[in-house]
Amino acid sequence: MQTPEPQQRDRTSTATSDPGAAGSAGLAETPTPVEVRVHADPALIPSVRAVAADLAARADFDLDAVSDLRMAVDEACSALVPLAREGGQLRCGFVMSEGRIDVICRVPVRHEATLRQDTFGWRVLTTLTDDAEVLDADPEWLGIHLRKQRLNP
Amino acid sequence: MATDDDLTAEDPLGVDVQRSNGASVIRLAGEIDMLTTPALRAKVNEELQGKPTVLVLDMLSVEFLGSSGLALLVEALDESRNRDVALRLVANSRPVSRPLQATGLTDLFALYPSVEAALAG
Repeated sequence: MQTPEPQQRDRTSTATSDPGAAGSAGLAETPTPVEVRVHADPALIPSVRAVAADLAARADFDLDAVSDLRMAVDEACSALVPLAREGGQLRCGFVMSEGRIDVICRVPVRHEATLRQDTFGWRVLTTLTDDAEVLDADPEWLGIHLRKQRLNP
Repeated sequence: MATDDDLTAEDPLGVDVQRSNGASVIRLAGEIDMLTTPALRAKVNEELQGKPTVLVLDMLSVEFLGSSGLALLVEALDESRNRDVALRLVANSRPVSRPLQATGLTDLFALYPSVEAALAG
């Protein structure tokens, strides 16, 4: 398991009411009603995006929105997995509320890891979601929070 | 003639190439994502290098199209224009049409409802 080393915990995360924001425990442990944890292996991303689509379908998302969320979660995972520390876990938490789903995907990273936002993939991700942001306040973990409304505008 | 004999049964994307009368048809079945795009890119480039008159990508059995797949389609379109190959997509279902539509790419491509229609132009 990924236990943050004490000397690396001096950078505290910003805590807000946003479900995507990391609390004082850091990004690794972000409590959500549904969480999927898999090895940070590209071969397991199809399973994670399938869970996202299933949750959206059960939350009565329209079919385009289900498709969009599946793609957005795939994109988030595809961006994060290559940055994960060896042997690390990809964790995706899902919060269903008020006609929307929030997804918080993250991986344990080395300090210098950054997520590029000038890629085609990131553009696709922001196009498909109502909100998308990089969660980089935790030095040990890097994540993406995305939000999708049940109905496309 | 290229076939799918280098793909294992567990492969999440089946790729089958048929060539006849100067046209190439690549039939795809399964998921086009970060995992499967590299092998597909190699197949598409191989067909484009053969300079067929028409290259048809039959995507009727595609169940997922991620951004890596969309990027590949855009690359293939650019390359097909460089080589004077008519690139035509066969797609009529949500797993392909929605990603194209949501990313504003639909109008870039020549879309057909069937392989026959795509070959006929």
